[in-house]
Amino acid sequence: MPIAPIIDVRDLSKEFKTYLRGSTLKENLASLFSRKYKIHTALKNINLKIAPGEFVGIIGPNGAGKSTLIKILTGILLPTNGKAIVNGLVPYEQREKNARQMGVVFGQRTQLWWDIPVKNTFELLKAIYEIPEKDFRARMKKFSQVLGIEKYLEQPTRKLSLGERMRCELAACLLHGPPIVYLDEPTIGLDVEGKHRMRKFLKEVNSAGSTIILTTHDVGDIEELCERIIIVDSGKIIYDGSFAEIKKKFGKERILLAEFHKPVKRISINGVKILERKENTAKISVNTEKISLTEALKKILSRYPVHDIEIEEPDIEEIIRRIYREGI
Amino acid sequence: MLGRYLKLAETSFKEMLAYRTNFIGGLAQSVLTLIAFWFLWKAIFTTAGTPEINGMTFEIMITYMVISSLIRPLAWSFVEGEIEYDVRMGGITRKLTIPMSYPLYRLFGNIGAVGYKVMTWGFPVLLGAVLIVKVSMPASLLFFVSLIFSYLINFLLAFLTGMWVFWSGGKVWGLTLSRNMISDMVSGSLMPLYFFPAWLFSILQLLPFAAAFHIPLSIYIGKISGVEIFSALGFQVLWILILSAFVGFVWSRAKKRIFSQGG
Repeated sequence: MPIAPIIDVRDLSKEFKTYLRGSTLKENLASLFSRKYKIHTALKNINLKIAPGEFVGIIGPNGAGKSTLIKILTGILLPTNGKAIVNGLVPYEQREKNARQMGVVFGQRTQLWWDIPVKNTFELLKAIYEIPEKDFRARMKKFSQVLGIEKYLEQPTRKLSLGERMRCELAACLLHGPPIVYLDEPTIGLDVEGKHRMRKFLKEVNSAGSTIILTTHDVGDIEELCERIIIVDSGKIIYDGSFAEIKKKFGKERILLAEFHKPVKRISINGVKILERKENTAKISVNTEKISLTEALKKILSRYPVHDIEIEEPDIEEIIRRIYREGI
Repeated sequence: MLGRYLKLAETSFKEMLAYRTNFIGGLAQSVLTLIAFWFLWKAIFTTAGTPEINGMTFEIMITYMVISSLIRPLAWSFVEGEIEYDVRMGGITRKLTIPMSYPLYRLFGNIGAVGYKVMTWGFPVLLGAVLIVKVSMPASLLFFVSLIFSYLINFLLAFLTGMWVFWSGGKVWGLTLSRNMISDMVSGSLMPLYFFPAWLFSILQLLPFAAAFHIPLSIYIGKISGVEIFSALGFQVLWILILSAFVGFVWSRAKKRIFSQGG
């Protein structure tokens, strides 16, 4: 029997009305009496099932509808059409109940009280979610170790750097041990070490059983964390599948960086072409459907005066940029 | 269940402690206003040349003004500003991801802040007033019950005004100012309602503003006494119920707006 999904989204659509005020004074005054608006579709017929324990990455350009989707799942936005069920609840109808079973980090919006020590917010959350003393202690101890937040607990939020704050933010959202975690840009503003730590921690949280939905602009987050990736664009899911598959599908083109002894203007091998050229160096693309990489390398090396050659790793960011641009 | 709301009040109390300098400003404002009123009423009584005006002696008048100047800042909440800030900066959506009702979140947050004001500045000013200006003690201890009701009425009025931000597109300051001005004029906080013509008095005393100021102040100076106190308290409760229902109704409309427009 297949496992019932923890998140089940069916034909979900969301439209927003944007009221137009006009730009001239006359139009502005007119808008006081009869308001014109246009409808902006943020989500179009989204269908999505997520199984318990999955770690799903949602990416898409700005304004693609990622946040709208997260807001509906967290219960703070009403869909125009369709339905979402999260762990047996309809989030926007049972907001407070749904809120108890989820943890949320909105990278841009803090839930820590600004002017008082971080630990005061934690104690408040303990009361709000009615976390038993024993669990609270155990989790605080764990978060202090893994996220290294112990030294920030006595400081007011406003004195923390963005990276320090984000670590506390993450701890805050996990204090009550929620089965579902939504992370909106959690690694924003983190340095390399900070990102590494946070990713390691998120992996642990996930393997301890929490379902995690992550939206990010940092493809590195997704590459390292998520088995499943969902690409959203203009309110639609344009890709939903494994990360490896997307690499395979779009990794047909491999890039070589070659340095020659003298300028080479063109390469006449089927499936191989020069993309960019600068004095003695060239960026060469190899279409692996027409010629294998090794074959192409062999031919280039034997026919042209190669001084040095380097194979570029398929760059996922480049792939995703291309998907945004050209579609699947 | 109540524990989390009390913890919220406690946390907001702690937050007030973080802005310690705020309270010096509040204290100074309160004391300066009092001095100004002392001179104003001194001049009025001297000019009038009678020991009593509208049944109030100078001493009772000063007591009235001292207590009023204590209630005013305690009752003025920052609630409108907080709602405005939540909506403008988008924090409202963050607060709705917490398993708590937003109006109650704001109420208990505010109780913490008010508790701080009572302890750090209400009591000291009252003590100073009793010792220095010889202000009399409350005529009935039920004044304190009435004071709590007064706080709730003011909170509900402020919350109602604050919710205007959901329709005004982000600004509520003008309305707050108007509310405070109307309240000052018709609540009996600056000018006892006994000074108004009888017909106006009978209208004004029915308004929630009077329930918030006129009633507790009159109980304090003994103008409302005996069984009358209970009917006055009952009247305050009535306004609390009406305003709560109204806040509930407007909030459900506001929520619909947030939930369909995304805050």
